Amino acid sequence: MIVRRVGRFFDERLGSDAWIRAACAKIYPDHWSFYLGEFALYSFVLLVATGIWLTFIFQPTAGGAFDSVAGVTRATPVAYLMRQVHHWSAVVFVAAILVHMARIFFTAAFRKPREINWVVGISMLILASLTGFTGYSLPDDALSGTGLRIANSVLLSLPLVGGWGAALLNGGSYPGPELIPHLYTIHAYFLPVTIGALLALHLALLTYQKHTQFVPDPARVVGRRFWPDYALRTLAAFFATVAVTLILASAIEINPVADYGRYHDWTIPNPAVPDWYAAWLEGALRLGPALELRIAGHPIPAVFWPGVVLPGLVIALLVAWPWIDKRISRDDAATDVLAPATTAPWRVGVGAALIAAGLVLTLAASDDQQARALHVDVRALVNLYRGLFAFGTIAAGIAAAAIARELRVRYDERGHEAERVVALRRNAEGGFDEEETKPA
Amino acid sequence: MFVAAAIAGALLYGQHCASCHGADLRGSVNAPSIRGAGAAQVDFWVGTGRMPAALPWVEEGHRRTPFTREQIDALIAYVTSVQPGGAAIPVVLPGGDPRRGRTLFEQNCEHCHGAYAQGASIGSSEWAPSLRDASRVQLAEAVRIGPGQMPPFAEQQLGGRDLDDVAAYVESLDAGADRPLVPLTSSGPVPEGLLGWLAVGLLIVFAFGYSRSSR
Ligand code: HEC
Ligand code: HEC
Repeated sequence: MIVRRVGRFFDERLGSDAWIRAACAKIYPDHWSFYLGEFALYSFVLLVATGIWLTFIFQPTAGGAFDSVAGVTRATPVAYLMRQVHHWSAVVFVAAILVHMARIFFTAAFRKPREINWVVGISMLILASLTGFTGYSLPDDALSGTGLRIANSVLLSLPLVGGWGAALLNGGSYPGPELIPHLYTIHAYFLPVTIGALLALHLALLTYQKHTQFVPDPARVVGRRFWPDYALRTLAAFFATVAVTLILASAIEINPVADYGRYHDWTIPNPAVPDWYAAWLEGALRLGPALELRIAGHPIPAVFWPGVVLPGLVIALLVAWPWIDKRISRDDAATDVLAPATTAPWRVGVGAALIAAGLVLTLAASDDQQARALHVDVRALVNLYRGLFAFGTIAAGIAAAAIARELRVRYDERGHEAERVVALRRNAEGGFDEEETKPA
Repeated sequence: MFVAAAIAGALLYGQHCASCHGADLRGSVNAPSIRGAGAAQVDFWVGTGRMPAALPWVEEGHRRTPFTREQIDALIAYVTSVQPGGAAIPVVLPGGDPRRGRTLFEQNCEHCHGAYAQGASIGSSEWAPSLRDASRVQLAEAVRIGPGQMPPFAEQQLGGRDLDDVAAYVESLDAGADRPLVPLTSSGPVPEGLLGWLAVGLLIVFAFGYSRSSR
């Protein structure tokens, strides 16, 4: 009754019925891999909701930041839960983005006409990692301060503009009085608003261009209507995300900054690692060669290559991937139909090599802890990871491509068998007889 | 008076300490020599319940001491009568400036005991304990004698007034307020990242099962 009245109110003024009806009738594909992006979406919702709460508590000043975060304890249970959920969601958020992206990559959903949305997605991945890193740095504790010092050195290594950029960020030399306030503005306003805008664009493009689907019939759209079917399913995905995050948040205290202590530029906690999504950069810094070059009289510090050039190349590769893919597959036709991963073994190989490279660099970020646990020399581990990065990734790519090719061959052989439908009929002796029928 | 206490102390020593520290205080395979240990040493080690240890070389944390004040004084009298010397029990005053104490604490103690004196790991298997249980006198004693892995601080480094300020800061920390509400505390970003991925793995399993079961 009330719903109908409210509906009429808006319809008479905005003509909303038509598009509500259209939205409710929209069809969503019914495949498990389409939930992955939703997990990322709902983690973002959790992050924004808890983040707003945290802005009421956090003191974005060089002196007050640590106390305002470390003061969130048993005495302030609501704020404590908010902080727990916030940090855990960030850890889950970036992981969910990556698995979603893997789905898009391996099923080639980025092909024409969806290249724009792929680039939007990559941008959100980068911004999400940056938001995570700046957020992790805000409490001004000993652990994150060490990360900031490294980030500062990487910034300084930029030729020409590095020193100027670092001075601007810090409001002086590191760790300047303006550092925390600047990070706060970036973390709590600039980045989330940008991600929110990109997310709106992402979803708008998705709705406008329609979902991709596995059903190889471009003329049909297969799936479930938003109302009454998919709305409830996506709600279930939302609650699954909330549940998993809450379980973590209520069982394990994340990032115990009070234990790490306040940051002082004369101490470095040991062992020190960033949150997992930034670890590959830390790993790259640990594996990078000690190479000090001078170009036209300008010193290029060693951190420049792993800290700036490598991530730059990775981002360029990811952004350009739809166009590189077109070149390799010689296929520039618009399509709404997904390619099962096995149809293009070379793509599986490239994806596996990228994942392996990320994994090796991420592992290298905690090589000191592993060396201690395994009782081996840390330098041996560094060399092992260097070797794995150079050759292991290629080997992983080749192996994955070979497996994909093998799977495709088997699938092709069995392809016609799958068409056969078998029915069983019970016979007089109590056994079963096979009864052949035509495919439905 | 002192002699009477020393005799009572000798009895207690023979009963509770000699098995490890030796009848002559020179130590044994079980424990170091405590000859020349001063009043502050004995008062700290016995008063915080670390001594008598239950097993040799198994470190004890802060416990309730089984001894009364008179018995501890008797032990001190005995140990210092065997070989006089060592640091006396420091004199502490009530009050103090917690804000100044916090600065001193940050400079001298925080990197071991944690920003909120809640206790923290100091590498390998060593642990700097929480300072919640120590009394003002025990805190001053610890600073002067440097028990275990803790370095001693001389009067020139941290004066008596400084110690009162540090104690005032430690006391100003609301007891129990920094204990987390949750059962486990993360040991760093490595396990956090692994658990985050485990969570995403669970979500994938959920998605897989959910889209199957409702077909
Ligand atoms: C089970 C053996 C054991 C018993 C019993 C024992 N101690 Fe100890 N004591 C030790 C050990 C081992 C140490 C070395 C400190 C450590 O790392 O725990 C020690 C250290 C000490 C120290 C500090 C020495 C230093 O140089 O740092 C004092 C003082 C001391 N004990 C006094 C006593 C007194 C007094 C008693 C009796 C009430 C006693 N102990 C009973 C084993 C024992
Ligand atoms: C190098 C690290 C380190 C530093 C610096 C340090 N401590 Fe300690 N402290 C320890 C360790 C380790 C112990 C435990 C000794 C043992 O039981 O063997 C300890 C024990 C104590 C205790 C006894 C606690 C109890 O209740 O049993 C007090 C009090 C104390 N420290 C106060 C301080 C103060 C105050 C400062 C700063 C002036 C300080 N400490 C600096 C490592 C440190």
